[in-house]
Amino acid sequence: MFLKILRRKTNLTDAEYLSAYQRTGDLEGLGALYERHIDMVFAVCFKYLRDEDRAKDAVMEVFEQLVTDLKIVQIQNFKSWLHSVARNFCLMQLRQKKVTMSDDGIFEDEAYESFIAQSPEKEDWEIEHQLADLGDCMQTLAHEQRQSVELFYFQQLCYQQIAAQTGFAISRVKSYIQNGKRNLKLCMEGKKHG
Amino acid sequence: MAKQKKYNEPTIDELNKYVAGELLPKEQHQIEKSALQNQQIEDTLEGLEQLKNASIDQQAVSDELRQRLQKRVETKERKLLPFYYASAAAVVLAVGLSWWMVREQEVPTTVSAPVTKEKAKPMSETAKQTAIVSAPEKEITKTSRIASTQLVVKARKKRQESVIALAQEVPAADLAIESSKTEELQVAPLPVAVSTPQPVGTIAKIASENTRVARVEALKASAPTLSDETLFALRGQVLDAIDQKALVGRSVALIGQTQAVLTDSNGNFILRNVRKNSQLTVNSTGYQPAQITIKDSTISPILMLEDKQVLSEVVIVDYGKTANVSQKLAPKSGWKAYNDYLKTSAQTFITNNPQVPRGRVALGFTVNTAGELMNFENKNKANPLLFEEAVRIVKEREKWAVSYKKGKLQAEKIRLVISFE
Repeated sequence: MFLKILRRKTNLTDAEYLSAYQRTGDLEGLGALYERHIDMVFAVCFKYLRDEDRAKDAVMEVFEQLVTDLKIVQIQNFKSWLHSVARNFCLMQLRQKKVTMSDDGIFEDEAYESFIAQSPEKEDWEIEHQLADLGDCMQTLAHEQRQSVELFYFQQLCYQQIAAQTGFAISRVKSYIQNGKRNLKLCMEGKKHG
Repeated sequence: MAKQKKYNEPTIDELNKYVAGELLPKEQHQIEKSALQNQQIEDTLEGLEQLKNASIDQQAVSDELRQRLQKRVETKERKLLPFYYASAAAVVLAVGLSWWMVREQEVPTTVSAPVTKEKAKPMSETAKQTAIVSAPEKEITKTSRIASTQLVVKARKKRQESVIALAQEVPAADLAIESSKTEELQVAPLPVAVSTPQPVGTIAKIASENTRVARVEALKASAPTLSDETLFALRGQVLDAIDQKALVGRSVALIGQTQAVLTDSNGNFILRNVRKNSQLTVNSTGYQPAQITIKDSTISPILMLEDKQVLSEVVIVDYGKTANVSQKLAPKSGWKAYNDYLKTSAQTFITNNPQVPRGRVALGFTVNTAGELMNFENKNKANPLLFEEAVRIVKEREKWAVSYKKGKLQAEKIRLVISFE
């Protein structure tokens, strides 16, 4: 039995675990799968709940949720699904506890990033068009945001390096990039439709 | 524009390294970028950073969580195991219980079994003695000796068999007869097979005598007797201790049971599902309560002693109020006043109507739970005129205390005789 788990651990993919669980309802398999991501779940839970014990309990409760949910739900990307399950669970807990948190950055859209990532598939003229738009939009950004975005995306520096170069605090750098990114996205969408 | 490398999700280890500051700037950039792209990584990263800031030992937590998870996964399995055990235990219990019940039902027969066994034992010993006695006898032929020894062996065998049979719980009554029969068969031919002098024969005779006794006793023992668990119907009679008159409508009940029966017009009653040694109580107003322990399905008449104390304690309560007291139907003003009223009413009627024929009216009617009078009957088929007048007289003074038993109002029939003479 133990050997079986070990073998599974090394061989099976998330999807294989999932289909096995849906077929057999074998908790050990599900446990092995969950162990792979348990640190991620804990980190996410800690991020939202900000309490070690509560986060630990949340990890276990999320597992209980998996035990029931995974029998019915078909999942493509287990890790991201698991993340949203854990996050939603924590948010529900916070809502129950009436702890207010700013949802700053929590529900941020990823459209822009995927737009950038998928751009090679587009036609050249489209890209050129978009690049032109991007250039225009970059000019509309606030100085700190533009600087951070440029350093991060164009020069591929890390936060630390940007902070060292610009003298901004690391946390500021991050929020500049996030906000700049969002503004860019809005600007690009406006150009596209207008 | 250079094609971007296919997006690779950083592993938790890489994220941990990032938080620990162990990565090169280039790698840091990659992780930061994927965090910007992917909410899950962003959250994980932030969580890890916060853990580091809170100086929580991530490894220890991780180990603890894995243990808890393992426990959780196992407990589910352990929960399954007891289910098997429980069902197995239930089956064993059920079988054991039914075996026990069967055994309990056969108590009288199994009791008889040891009797046979005991009787059988000295029996075969006698047979053995016969063999021993016969051995020194010089006249005995070899064959007869062999025969007698064979008999002993046989007897022993039979005994063993009967013991085995006992263990197997063959209905013991049959066994008792069977085993005694076999003993008899073995012993009876003994004097024949062994042509020996007197002593041996007598012993054998005694032996066969013993067998008969054994058989009789075995039969006696196996005869049906009441065991503690058998249910039976109990018949009995309730009588007044002094004048031996049957007490009608008295409640007879078993202690610990809710159902009670009432005695019939001859004071007889039948109680079903009675066990030996259960306690019977007879409660009736005016008599001291009686309590009897049941030993058999038929009992001698239960004699009830009058209890004046109890009578004086009967309390009549108001209408509408219920109390655990029985009250008999009666006119509200009491029987004496009512009889006087009937008399005078009849008298006035006669004096006012001297021409009507004289006679008595047996008037039957029902007093319902509300105290109303209804269903008047001319019981003795008296003159309709007199019957009408009787009804009028009774109706005119319509005040009756309704009977109730055990706090429950009851409609009751009553019969009055009014004489117009």
